[in-house]
Amino acid sequence: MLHKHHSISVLDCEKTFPCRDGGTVFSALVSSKTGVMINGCRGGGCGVCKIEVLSGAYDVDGVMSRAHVSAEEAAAGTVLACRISPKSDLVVRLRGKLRPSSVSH
Amino acid sequence: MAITGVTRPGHAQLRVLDLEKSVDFYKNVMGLVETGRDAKGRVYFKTWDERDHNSLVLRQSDQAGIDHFAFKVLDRATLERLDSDLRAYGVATERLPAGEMLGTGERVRFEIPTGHIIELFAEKDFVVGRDRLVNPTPWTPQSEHGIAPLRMDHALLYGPDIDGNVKLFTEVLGFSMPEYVEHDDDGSKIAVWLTCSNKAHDIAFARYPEQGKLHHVSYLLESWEKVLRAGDVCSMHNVKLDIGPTRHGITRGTTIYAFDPSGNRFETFCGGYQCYPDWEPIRWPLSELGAGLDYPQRKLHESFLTVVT
Repeated sequence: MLHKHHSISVLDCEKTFPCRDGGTVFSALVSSKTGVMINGCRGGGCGVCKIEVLSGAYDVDGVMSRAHVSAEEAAAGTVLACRISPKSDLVVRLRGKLRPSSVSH
Repeated sequence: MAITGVTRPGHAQLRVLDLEKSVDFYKNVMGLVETGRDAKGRVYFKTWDERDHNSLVLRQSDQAGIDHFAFKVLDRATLERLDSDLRAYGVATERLPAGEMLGTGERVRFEIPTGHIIELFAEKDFVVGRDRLVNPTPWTPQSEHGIAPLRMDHALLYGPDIDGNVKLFTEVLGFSMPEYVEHDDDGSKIAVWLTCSNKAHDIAFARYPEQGKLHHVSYLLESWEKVLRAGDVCSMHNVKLDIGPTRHGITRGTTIYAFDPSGNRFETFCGGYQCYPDWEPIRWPLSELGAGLDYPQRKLHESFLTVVT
């Protein structure tokens, strides 16, 4: 690979995805086309890409809506995947509402 | 058809997570004109072709979403009548004085059953220049800057009690319902398109478990080619598209959905049909919602149902 990559291990589906250094965790999960992540707003506003980072280092770029991530959560590693890029391999758990029962009754 | 009562959408006030980033987006990607900033830090915009002082207001916040959506009514007497009608119907209303928003007269504010704040006003300053009123040119340098829509056209809002909204908007505010989506089994309404004019929609609502959510604010373009150009402008600025370019089965508009820097969805669209209030509404079973949303692909994009601010 031309670019340095980190691996993102998603515990919920026991799969690991490559993430380009400098790319967002959200982009890595969506572009995997595995359905592990749905297309979200990519702007820190909608909360569908909420994850908990269990291990690894990452940079935060941009603001996350307080409607989805409280200050306490952010400090403890719960973030929006569209706002972070990995600095090392990450182990994460999905925390977003991927399939709300809004219209399925 | 005479347009009386509630005449049209007036403005949307959105919450943004990074004000200057958002101002840059709405000026240079959407191509709106900044018309002022107030003491509360809110920033006001209109499209190049709109005459009223503002149709979009941005407010810095730690949460994305919509503060309120407002409609312009015919005149002050209409504003007084509708306020009185709302109270008689059992809706609590509140007055905001003229000038609380730049260039905007007194507003009547109330909450609707889906938890959204709706406002009515009769007066907004005209900021159109004489050159647009006498021998106007069909386009201007501003009309070519960014996406540059003709007008802020409608919004789609998500919340639980859309039946309550339909009742309020049709029985008190004079709207009619050109189209709706209903559940195949029990016939309950899943989404509704409402109009106060002969546009296919001036506001729409879809059922969602949480109160007060924004799906999108929509901007009108002149042609399908301009919708494609909007897609180009988004790509040139690295703004990823959500859905489209495609055509909705519902309302028949051609469309692109994408997101502003805070994740508030916007639509740039063209077309759709003109309708009249005596028409029987068009019904879409939920099982056909994919065609209603994206007719060529008949695809019910997952983000349409789940991604809101």
